[in-house]
Amino acid sequence: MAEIRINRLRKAFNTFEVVHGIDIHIQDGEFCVFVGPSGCGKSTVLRMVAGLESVTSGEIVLGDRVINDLPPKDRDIAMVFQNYALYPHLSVADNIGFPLRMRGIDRTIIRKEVERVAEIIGLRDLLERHPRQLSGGQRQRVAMGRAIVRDPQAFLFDEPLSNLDAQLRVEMRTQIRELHQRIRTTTIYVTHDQVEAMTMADRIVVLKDGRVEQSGSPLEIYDRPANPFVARFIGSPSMNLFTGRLGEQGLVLKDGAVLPLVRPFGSHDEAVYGVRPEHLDIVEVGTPGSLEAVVAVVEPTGAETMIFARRDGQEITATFRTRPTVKAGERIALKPDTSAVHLFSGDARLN
Amino acid sequence: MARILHMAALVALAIVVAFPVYWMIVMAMTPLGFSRQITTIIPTNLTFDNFASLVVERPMLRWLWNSTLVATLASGISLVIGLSCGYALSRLNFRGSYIVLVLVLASQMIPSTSILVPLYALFKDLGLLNTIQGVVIGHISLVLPLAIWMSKGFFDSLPEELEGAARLDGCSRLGALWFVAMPLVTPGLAAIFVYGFVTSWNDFLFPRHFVQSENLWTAAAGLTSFRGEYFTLFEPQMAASIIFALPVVVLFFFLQRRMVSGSLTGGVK
Amino acid sequence: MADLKIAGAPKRSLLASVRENLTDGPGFLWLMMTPPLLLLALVVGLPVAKAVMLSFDRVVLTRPKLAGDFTFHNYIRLFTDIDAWLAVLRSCLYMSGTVFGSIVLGLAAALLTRRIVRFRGLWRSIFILPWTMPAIVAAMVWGVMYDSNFGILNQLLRMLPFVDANVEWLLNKSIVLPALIVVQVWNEFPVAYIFFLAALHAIPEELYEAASVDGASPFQQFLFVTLPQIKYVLAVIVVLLLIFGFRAFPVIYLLTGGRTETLTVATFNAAFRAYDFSYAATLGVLAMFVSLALVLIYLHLTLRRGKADAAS
Ligand SMILES: Nc1ncnc2c1ncn2[C@@H]1O[C@H](COP(=O)(O)OP(=O)(O)O)[C@@H](O)[C@H]1O
Ligand SMILES: [Mg+2]
Repeated sequence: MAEIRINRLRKAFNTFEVVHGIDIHIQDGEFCVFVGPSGCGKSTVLRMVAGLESVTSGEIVLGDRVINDLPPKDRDIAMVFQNYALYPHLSVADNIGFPLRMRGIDRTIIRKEVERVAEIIGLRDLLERHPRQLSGGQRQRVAMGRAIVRDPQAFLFDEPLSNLDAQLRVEMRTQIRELHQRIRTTTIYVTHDQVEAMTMADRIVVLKDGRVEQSGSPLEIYDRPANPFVARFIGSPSMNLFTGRLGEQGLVLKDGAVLPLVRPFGSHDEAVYGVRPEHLDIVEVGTPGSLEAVVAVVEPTGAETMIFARRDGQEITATFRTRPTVKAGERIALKPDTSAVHLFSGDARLN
Repeated sequence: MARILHMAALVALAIVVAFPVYWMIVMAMTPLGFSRQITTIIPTNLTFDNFASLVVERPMLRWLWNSTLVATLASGISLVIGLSCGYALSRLNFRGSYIVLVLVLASQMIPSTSILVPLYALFKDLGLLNTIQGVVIGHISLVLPLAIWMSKGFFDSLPEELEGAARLDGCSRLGALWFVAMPLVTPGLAAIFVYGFVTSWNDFLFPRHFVQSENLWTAAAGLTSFRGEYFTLFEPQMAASIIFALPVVVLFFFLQRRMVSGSLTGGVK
Repeated sequence: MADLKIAGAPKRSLLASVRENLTDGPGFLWLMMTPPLLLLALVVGLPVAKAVMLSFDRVVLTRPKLAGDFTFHNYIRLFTDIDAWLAVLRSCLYMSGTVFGSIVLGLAAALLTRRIVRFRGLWRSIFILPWTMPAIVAAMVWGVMYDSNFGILNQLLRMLPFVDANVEWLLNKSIVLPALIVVQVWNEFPVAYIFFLAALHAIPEELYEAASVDGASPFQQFLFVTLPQIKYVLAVIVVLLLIFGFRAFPVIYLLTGGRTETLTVATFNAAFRAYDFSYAATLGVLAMFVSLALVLIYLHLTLRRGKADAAS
């Protein structure tokens, strides 16, 4: 086990740079999730850590060694791929035992280790099967077995759950977390799914276009997103964002409506005002500091009720634990909880 | 109605396409000299004499053996040597890979007559004319580019992550090729070998012109000697054609799936 | 930061580190590329170089005294040689004829068999069969069928009322080229057939259902559903068949004894009839340039498509 430090890491394919100098420090034993939209460079960073992609510039440090030029086989890192990358010509047992076999370990020891791991991941009965005879979830577990069998310094996961159906995905999520709690190996987990990131991570690194947008614990990122991108990307349904100009009472929208702030801001610059759906309240129409909107859809999910309303071409989402009795077409007023408001200017957070 | 038309068209087309093969078989089994009197397309008295006479009166067996030897060597050497180039072209994104790709494909597509002439001149200087080795080398020039190109195609069809996983699991690049990629492309390699084998088997240009002594000819070279410029007998020609084509046809149909997918490499997926 | 160990260079013997470099380092590329490229240089590069050298020389086996000097003689001759350009023209005709014929026949066969369920394997085998025939066998079989006196084609023709003449398929100068094209098409159309069949199977059936719901006739369905979907495959086949047609030699040579000269046959004749190896090499070099051009077109087509696939 070891910490991983990524320093000013860059990657260019030919002359086309896709990772623009990122810094990430992952503590020993931490479960770190890289999240970001597809194509933002998550896999590329992960593959550089694994040694499957060359480093254009910068440093990757594992423990106390710079591993930039170390071939993957000497890095002592295990990886689970999106398509699992199980060896189709080998049985489950041989797949799991493969890393040990490549290290020249004795057959009888390999057998024992494979059985121990099969126990952990619950595949005892399937050891003689071939990958094509397994379901998606089982393949996923074999891939994990192959990763944990040799007790590596770090685990890398590249969207390991995206080929599974929704229910299995939720199940595997917990299983991977449990596994991590048990063996406490430093882990980098890549996903484009922010729910996965929120539920699994000790720490989240939000990436966009080859840059780190923000990094921190899930709740830090949820409660204090550093910029509008992170604000919208993390959390479901997404945060409502309003663009306007700062005034004495708060943020003044184009049509003159005013969104309240805890304290007035000195400047009169353009700013983005963000409020999460659960921080909106239905108030009487005309209440100062509220936004009028027309209800478009009401979606009760049981635990929560979601209201989609429209105002001036902009959609506003609000969720409620209570069950408000509004109907589509109705005009309502929504008032933000000023203590939970996010204010951004350009790419920076103001409050 | 549309259905009947459809079936009729299909049957008609199939008959036209298959007829030459049928006719070859009929001719080959017609008694010597009788083919000129055939007045119907349904044969009456059939015989295997023509096949027997090939073996007795011509060194057909010898030629077939030479063909087998040349084709096995040319295709085997090309495959063993060419494979790694196909792998590199498929997996290693190196500078100049496009140029290598063009060179390989161009080598494959050059008309063999363009190669025949300088190769003849070279072999004359090197004393390789009239030897089996010369023919093998000549055929390697036909088969090697094919082996490279086709193996690239088969490696392309393997997910790259497999070797990535293998490398993390403790393999070198070479180890990943050996332990993971190779076992998975083995069926493909068989197809490449057969393709190369057939290419060499079918070529008459090199053996016919590099080799004077008849007993060093391959079957293709021998077969074309049956077709003189003016007068020849149909029956032994057709019998020889069948013997010559049969192994190739069998190989093709035996490996049909893979042969087809191999030939489509770079085309439709 | 300063006390970080740079991994990858622990103490090793020279041999071990060379081995490491070759099997898992930058040297791997060299390990993989050197033997095949050397062999390729030997069996293809060397002859090509020799051909170029010959083309600037005058190696004529019947007149050995001419050899030895660097000369543009052959290229000058090439530009003024009507026969050579006629051969090029014939190559072009032959290529277009075989491409057109193979595509029509291949597409017809593919359209006819695409939805056939019964005996599907049999039909396919029949249409692939000609391709499995070696070109020399195709030439021999058709040579027998084309025979002016005893060939089955003339016998069948004679059965028609009012037809008496013996068609000299391979001797009549205005018929020979089409006759040769027929043989080549018969031998090669299965390539088009296989490509088309694969492409047709990749078209989702729903497209046709939608089209017929919209009232499209079968012909309109072909025009507006099928054709756009197989456009790319069509382009690839055209280039591939152009290359095949351009390379063609056995069929033409064996059926006409070399009397009908395409560029490949002319190359052969210059060397083995006129014994002018230099002029033959010159024609051969011209042919190489043509194939290089065709290969570049082919790669341009397929690689660009490959990239588009990867991006989507
Ligand atoms: N081998 C490659 N060659 C060129 N560009 C690549 C290559 N691999 C990835 N890219 C590009 O790098 C960017 C990041 O890709 P990737 O790391 O796979 O994104 P993610 O995993 O976040 O979806 C993308 O724009 C992708 O097109
Ligand atoms: Mg990815």
